[in-house]
Amino acid sequence: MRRQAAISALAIFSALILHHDSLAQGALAERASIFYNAWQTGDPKPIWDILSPDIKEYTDFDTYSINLKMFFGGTRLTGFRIRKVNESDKEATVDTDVVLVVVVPGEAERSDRAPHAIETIDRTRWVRRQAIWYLATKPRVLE
Amino acid sequence: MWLLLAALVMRSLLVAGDAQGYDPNVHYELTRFLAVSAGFKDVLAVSVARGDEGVDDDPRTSHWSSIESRELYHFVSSRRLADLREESVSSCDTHKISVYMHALEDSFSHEGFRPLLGHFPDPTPDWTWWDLPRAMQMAKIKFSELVDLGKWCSALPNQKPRNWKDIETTVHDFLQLHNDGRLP
Repeated sequence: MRRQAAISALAIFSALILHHDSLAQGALAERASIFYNAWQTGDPKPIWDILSPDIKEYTDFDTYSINLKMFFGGTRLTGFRIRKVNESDKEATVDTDVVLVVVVPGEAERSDRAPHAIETIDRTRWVRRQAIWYLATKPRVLE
Repeated sequence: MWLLLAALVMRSLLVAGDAQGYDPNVHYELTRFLAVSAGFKDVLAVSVARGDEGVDDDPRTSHWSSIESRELYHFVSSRRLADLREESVSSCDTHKISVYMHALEDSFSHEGFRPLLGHFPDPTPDWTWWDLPRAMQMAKIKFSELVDLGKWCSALPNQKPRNWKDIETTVHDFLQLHNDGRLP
């Protein structure tokens, strides 16, 4: 009963969040929306497509998507709103209000482990390559 | 040296499954090599290495699977790391040592990331060659901890530990390779 109430409350809260339009506009906000929509639907492909090309020669989609699918299973995004975009010529950050549902695998039936919602601000980093914004990765450190 | 060479051959096989946190080359092969170099009996070095890699392989403890597992094993606080160390030293249990080693390793690659979201969606923090100086720091500290564990837990070693200087180049050559065994 408590679990159902919690999830219902979460659904209402998420709907309220989603009801609002993005506070930020522009090309980067649209790219960020692609990222969060893909997370929300649990689809790794759009995220792979906007991931920095700097690392594409070192990994492949199949390997990358295995880990993302596991992540989606335990940390579900149920609502988001692009809050703020800070961009310079080649780099940017995007702050986004997110509502997450956290699941402990295999223990969701325990009352103290029921899925619960977390509201927070997520910051993503972006890099511009040939006029297109991509999700940034940690810069490589050479010796 | 032969352990590392064998590990290089195995690396391309292991990467097919990929992993979370540092790759299996760190959690298994490097751990085994460093534990043997620290004087551990081979069978116990393997046990620690298997347990270390097992933290990633087990869906209940994998860092991609939940916030809780990220807090406990992969993105640990300094307090949690100190507790894991204390548990290892006081018990001399290979499983507890494995979990401590795992958290210690990831504390280098995951520094600056919060357990809430880990380093999603960026896979590079887990690539040793992407930040080799950091990975070398990790290996050196890890080796030092294994040597100390060998001193405190008399059942673990059966030989004197080697010096870091004697194994540093081998470790460096190992960590700089891409998962498929080539130089990136």
